[in-house]
Amino acid sequence: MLTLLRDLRRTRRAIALAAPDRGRSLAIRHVDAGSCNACEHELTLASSPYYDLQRFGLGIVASPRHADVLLVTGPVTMRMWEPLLVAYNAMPEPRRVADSATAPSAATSSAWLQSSSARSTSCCQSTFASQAARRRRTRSPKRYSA
Amino acid sequence: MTHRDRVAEALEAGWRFGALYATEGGVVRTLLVSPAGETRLETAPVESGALPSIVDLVPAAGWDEREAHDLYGVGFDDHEPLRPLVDHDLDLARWTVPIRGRDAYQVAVGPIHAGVIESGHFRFHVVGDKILHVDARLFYKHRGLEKAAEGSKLEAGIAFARRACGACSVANSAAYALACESALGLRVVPDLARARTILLELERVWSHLNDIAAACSGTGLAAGNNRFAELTERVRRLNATLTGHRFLFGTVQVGGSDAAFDDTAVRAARAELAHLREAAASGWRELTFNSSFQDRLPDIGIVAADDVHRLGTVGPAARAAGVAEDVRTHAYDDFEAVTPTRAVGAVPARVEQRALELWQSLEILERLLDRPVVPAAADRGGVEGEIGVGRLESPRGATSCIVERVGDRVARMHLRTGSYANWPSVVHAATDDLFPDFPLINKSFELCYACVDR
Repeated sequence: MLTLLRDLRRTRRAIALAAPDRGRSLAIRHVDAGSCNACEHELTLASSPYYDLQRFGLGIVASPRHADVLLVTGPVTMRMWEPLLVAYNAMPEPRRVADSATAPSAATSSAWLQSSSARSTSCCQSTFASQAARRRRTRSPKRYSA
Repeated sequence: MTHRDRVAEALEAGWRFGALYATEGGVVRTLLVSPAGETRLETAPVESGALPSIVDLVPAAGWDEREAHDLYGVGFDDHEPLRPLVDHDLDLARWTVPIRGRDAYQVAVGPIHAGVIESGHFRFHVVGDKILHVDARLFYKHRGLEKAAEGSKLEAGIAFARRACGACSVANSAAYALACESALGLRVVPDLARARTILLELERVWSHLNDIAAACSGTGLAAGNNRFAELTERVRRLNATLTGHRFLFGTVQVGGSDAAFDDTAVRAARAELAHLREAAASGWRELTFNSSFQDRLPDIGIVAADDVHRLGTVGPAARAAGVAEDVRTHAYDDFEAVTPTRAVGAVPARVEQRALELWQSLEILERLLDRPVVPAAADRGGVEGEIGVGRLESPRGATSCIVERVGDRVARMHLRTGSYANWPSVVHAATDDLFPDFPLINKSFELCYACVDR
């Protein structure tokens, strides 16, 4: 099994299939890294009839092994840093990290708190934008890159 | 008279345990609540690092004492073993209940779950499919919000209560605001109470709709889940139209309310809520007569009335067991707590409880949205103090906030939410049931992790 997975991964790397002009699907694995729970509630509703995330080919998958994108919510608490890395390392290449709203872009909770003390209307609305792997200010990007 | 004696005496007189927390100043305070809803704090100095535990008198204080130990280093004599709660000890034996016997094994779940779920770890001790015990290890999302609030101005500190949990943002902010107002000697005037009640009930409406959707998803009924998710979305949109925020962030302030809904807004909101009521009632009827849904809601996950009193269960979970306690009874005019027809404290009773409370909340909103909502300010003239307590009914149960102040700044803020009170009940409910039933049992409580972890 492990050999098969390793070989498949090698093949995937070797042929390096280019993304189609119009992306057909993207498998998203969500990890809550210390959010206020609003992102989770919004993400749940993104699959509801009003938004139907799946029509864009975007699906939430159960395992990072199935995922193209790691969607992080929350400011990344100390306790969630390790589980987050484990999830990231479990993802096959090519992989991307995205964040929802503004919370994860502030890698320390103090920055998150500063942003939250203002009445934040953009955060935790359903306008979460998938971005390419974030450049984190306070964490070494090398630890995070593929 | 010792702290322990005073707590014991109050409990005998019918008072309930509300919260327990420690401070940097070397004291432990216990919040007690009378049957009439009055609150009182009992303070005990911590001598040589410890004080007698009250956990044998009030098992509900178990988590509070463990938290005070982990965060403030306070020992509790006779609380044995005092397992870590907020601290994440890597040694399994230190934080799990030892389970021995033939064929007993452990299933570790989380902190990352398969769905869109908050992070937390559960360790199931099982034999075959039967759950012998669950050790819940939360606090993966601990952000140190209470500590971070210290030193901020009372008005600004509300941000920490608000962002403790997006799903209970109004409840937590309003509890914080009430605590500050009580410390500042401010009295809540009727217009202010009305504005806050509207916001609290809007939060409850979306939350209960979401919980019914979650129960459908827990039984694999996609149609029910989608229907109630759709209604949840409509309430969030209504929230955004009324206040500019889907989760009503920033709508509660200390000492007043700037919520202003004019005649047109109020009328539109009433129309939308009337539509929601009709749609939710029809959806609920569908669920009631959908045998594939009903057949999947057996009487599992029982938290009966005596468990409620012992574990300190609050909110819909307590009322579903026939314990008709609701902080709103003391706060709202003409409010009576409802209980379901078969109040046995099982999964179907808790799901039905959400529907019953939903009709109640929609009725309250219809009554209160009869005229425009205007900005209001609290009245001066109460008694000022160093400490204030705010207590109200969040969608998940009684939430208490205690604010200690020095001048106009927060010296200590403690938030004990309905979810915090109810997690031990989830563990109790799952015991003796089947492992594959846990997701459904868990969803019938639908507790937050964020406002527990803080």
